[in-house]
Amino acid sequence: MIGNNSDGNIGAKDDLVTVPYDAGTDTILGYLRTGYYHVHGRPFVYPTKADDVRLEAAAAAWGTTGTITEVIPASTLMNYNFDLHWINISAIDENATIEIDFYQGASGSETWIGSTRASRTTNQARNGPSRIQVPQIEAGTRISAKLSSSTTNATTCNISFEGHYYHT
Amino acid sequence: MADPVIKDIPSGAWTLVAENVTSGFLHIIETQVLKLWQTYRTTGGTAPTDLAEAIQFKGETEEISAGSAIDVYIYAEGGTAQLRVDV
Repeated sequence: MIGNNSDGNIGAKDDLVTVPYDAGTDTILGYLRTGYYHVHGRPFVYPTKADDVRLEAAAAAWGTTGTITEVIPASTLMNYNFDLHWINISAIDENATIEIDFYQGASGSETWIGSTRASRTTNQARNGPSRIQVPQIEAGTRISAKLSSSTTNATTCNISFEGHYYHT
Repeated sequence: MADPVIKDIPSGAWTLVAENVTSGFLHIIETQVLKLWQTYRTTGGTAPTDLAEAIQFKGETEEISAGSAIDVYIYAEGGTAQLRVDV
């Protein structure tokens, strides 16, 4: 290498990947340290010591006009940037296939960050945790969700999130 | 980053190949030399005059990476060379 850059692409020990992600700007040590916290970062559940958040779909098959319901208020998960890994789905109130969209941002300015699907049949309720994938989220970000259902009813379900901070 | 530039490196003299840069790559296109040397100066500084602090080129490509702007010099020993400069 030509030059005096002691960091360069390798980086410094306290680097973390930039959030929001900006491709081509992060260092090797940043990716490694972020990867460590992705596996071993301090966990959380939300809501905690409180009831799940109830979602209600639009009364239309796969309607997209259901209410975007706040799950994690702004300025709540404040300590560090965080990640959502699991959604706990329960109390799907009828036999249906459902799809839950997740959003980040202020009310009225939500941007989509991920989705998951689940179903309830006569034999199985499919309650329990589902793995989800979202971008890394800045500390203090508001998280909300919207339900869509295969039926023409205003299907409801309850949800909570499990995730971790990018820190110990 | 600008388009690549082809630089001819004469034998036996330091050639300025990149000026006021912090990153980039130097690729050997052709060489008749036995050795190809590299060094740098803080941008605007006096050009090198000998091989005292020169480092030999490693492989076909050298990366430029500096915390602050530098000028990059190449010395071809024993023949001429041609580099593609990506900065």
